[in-house]
Amino acid sequence: MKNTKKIAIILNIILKIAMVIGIGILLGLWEILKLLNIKFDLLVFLIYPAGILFLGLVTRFIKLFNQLKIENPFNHNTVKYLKQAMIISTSISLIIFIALLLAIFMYPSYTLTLKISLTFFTILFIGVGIALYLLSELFRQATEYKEENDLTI
Amino acid sequence: MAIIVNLDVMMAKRKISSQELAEKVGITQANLSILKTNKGKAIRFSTLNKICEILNCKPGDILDYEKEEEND
Repeated sequence: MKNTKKIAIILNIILKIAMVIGIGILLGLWEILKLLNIKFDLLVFLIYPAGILFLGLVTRFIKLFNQLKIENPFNHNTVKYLKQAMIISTSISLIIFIALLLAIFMYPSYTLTLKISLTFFTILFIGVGIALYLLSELFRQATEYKEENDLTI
Repeated sequence: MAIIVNLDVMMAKRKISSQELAEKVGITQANLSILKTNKGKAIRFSTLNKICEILNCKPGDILDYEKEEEND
């Protein structure tokens, strides 16, 4: 249990650093694109909603790791954060899928590598969403069982 | 919950306090309060057995069933 808490603390710190870097990238994206000489089109614009949602996903993971630090992680808050993370992950996959469609039909000049990457990330975030949904359902049932057990006199 | 715990009534009849009953049964006063206020999800046979033994009653004297109204 002590090791689990240590891992949770380390991952929490890593996620917080990722969060700061992510905010920095989003704020400076305009300048980065200028430096790299990339034209600002609809596809690039989709980075913003996806990035904001990704930061939302990171905050949910930070909250989930905070839950691991407390005595009883089987509570309704954990279930709530898992469900929120699931919704965010699915939304990100939807945005990436829209970006993929745009890359195929509106901007065929984009490289095949980018299109393959977009396909990979669409599948990845759908997979994460499904995994989070399963986990949230498991945690919901575990929370209910624990409540029932705690209230057995 | 359709099962109603009427522990208060039997305790009043036997003139026994919550503290005394909790001590004799071997449960905390907080847990006894959960039982009395119908917030409990389940009761162990061993606990029910001790309560009946101390209050000199039958399970039916402290447990009741009321049909829940269906919300359409």
